[in-house]
Amino acid sequence: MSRSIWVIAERGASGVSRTTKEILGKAGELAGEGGMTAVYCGADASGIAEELQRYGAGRVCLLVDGAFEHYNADQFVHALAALAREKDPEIILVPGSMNGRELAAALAAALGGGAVQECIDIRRDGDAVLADRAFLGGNLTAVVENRSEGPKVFSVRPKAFPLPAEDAGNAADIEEVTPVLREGGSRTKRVEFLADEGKTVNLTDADVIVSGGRGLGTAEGFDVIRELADVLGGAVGASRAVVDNGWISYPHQVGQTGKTVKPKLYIACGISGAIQHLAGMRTSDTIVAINKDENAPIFKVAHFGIVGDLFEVVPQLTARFREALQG
Amino acid sequence: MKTIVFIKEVPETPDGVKISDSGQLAVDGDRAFLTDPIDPYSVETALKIREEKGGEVIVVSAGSTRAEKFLKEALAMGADEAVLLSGAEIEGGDPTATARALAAAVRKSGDFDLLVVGDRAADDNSAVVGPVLGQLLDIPVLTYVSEVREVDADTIRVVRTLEKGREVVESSLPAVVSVVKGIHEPRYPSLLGIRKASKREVPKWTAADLGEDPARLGAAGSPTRMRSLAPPPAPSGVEMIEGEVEEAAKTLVAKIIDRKVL
Repeated sequence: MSRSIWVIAERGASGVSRTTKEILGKAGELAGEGGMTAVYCGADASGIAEELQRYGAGRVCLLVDGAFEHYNADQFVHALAALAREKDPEIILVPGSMNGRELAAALAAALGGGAVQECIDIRRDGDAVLADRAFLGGNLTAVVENRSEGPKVFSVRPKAFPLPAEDAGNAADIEEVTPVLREGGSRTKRVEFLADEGKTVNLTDADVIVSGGRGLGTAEGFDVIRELADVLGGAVGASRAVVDNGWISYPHQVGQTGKTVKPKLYIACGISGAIQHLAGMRTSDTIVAINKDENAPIFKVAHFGIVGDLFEVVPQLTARFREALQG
Repeated sequence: MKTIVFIKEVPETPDGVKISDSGQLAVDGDRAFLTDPIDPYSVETALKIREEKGGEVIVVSAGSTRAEKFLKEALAMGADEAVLLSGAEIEGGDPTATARALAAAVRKSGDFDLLVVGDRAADDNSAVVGPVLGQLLDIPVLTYVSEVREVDADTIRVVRTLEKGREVVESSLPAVVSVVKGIHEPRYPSLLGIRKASKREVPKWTAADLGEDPARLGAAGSPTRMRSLAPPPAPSGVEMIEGEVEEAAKTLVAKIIDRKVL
């Protein structure tokens, strides 16, 4: 009998996370006769199964227990590994959030194999399952075969795959399973969660990012960046240099030591394009660079470029976009 | 408090990085290596805990004999002991196979309280070793740790920095902690430390010393294998928008609207 493909579902700000939905789309392509199962661990699964169903899950497996109120590797890995040993899926796809990457690595080890992390594509080649992923901070791309004997675990980078369309007509088998919990409970306990202050910077999910670099000159230079980002409904990014200067906080940093992003539109203003920055944004769909220096490396990865003073160019763009988007 | 820190060498630049015959990451021998930029942070974390709680800090690396140099850098910073896991059966493994060798070394070295590792390696970027150690040794794992708040005989309290905030977590010991840059500013080794470290012999343990099945180690034991490794596709080329600022902005906005990315 053909084995199933699992998608480990993760909760986002409201309902199922975007990355989970993206992976459901891909899992549908990879699934054979064994079909595709979305597996969710949580203290409360209300609305989750219905949403997973609308995004194409053939089966939904819900593991509901208070032990899953907050992610903790002890209980999540224990319960998922027990279920995986019983059901023996061929492939397990995990959203590549920070906790998701921890889960993927630990789950693969619990099942005797190894995880391939932060994949940007997954496909079959005969019996082999291959994934593309970045090495050396995006300077190299590798095709990696997961030869684990048991289930092959992959974590998937956000935005690796397009968001599938909802299908209200899809019907899934929904099953609630009693999770096998770790005896003695979790050895780790969340004491408190300190949410980032102010507006949450979610660069990973943003469709538009306007980023500023050293060319801004001062922290106040970010004002023009924020105005353009507001008009486009986007997020504000930054290069490492300006974060190090204290002009903006670390959650805004794009690049090897910051976030890896893949928005539909990335506008780099006054960013020269150090290799570490490029590693974090070069796969964006459309890249626009604005820089005084026509030889800045950022122009090598950009689709459109303007050589000029960002304090003249960016306000003009803000005005033009405002007109165009209102019209 | 006995803390074991894991470090690794990484190539200084992507030049000369290739795939070995067995599908693992390899580097031309004449290239320059350095200790993974995260390593000094891991070592510093362990040294800070020793300053407060006493005990010892042991540094372990698995791979080529080149890494001996980097183990000595950690000794120069103040680590008490270093061990190199080496030999054909251990070298050239993927992160999972390497973690198995590290876990075997931990077992061999007896009781311990804490394991410290960098959150992800600068070469394979895989963030696998910490969670795998947790599973293999059946101890809790704490990843992305940006602050150690409190350590006592059998518990540790840390701050994990996640996408949307910071999570304060308490765990029983022994545990494995993966640290992010910025947890502590690493100290510079003193001249005396460097001189003393240079004279130390670093013990080398082979697969046989570890008592681990060689079929689970190195390239032979790696559950993942690379088929190709190449620079990402070259960008299609930039279209420079010329002209006066106002005109250029108008043209650019029209082109972006045309691409239907908004």
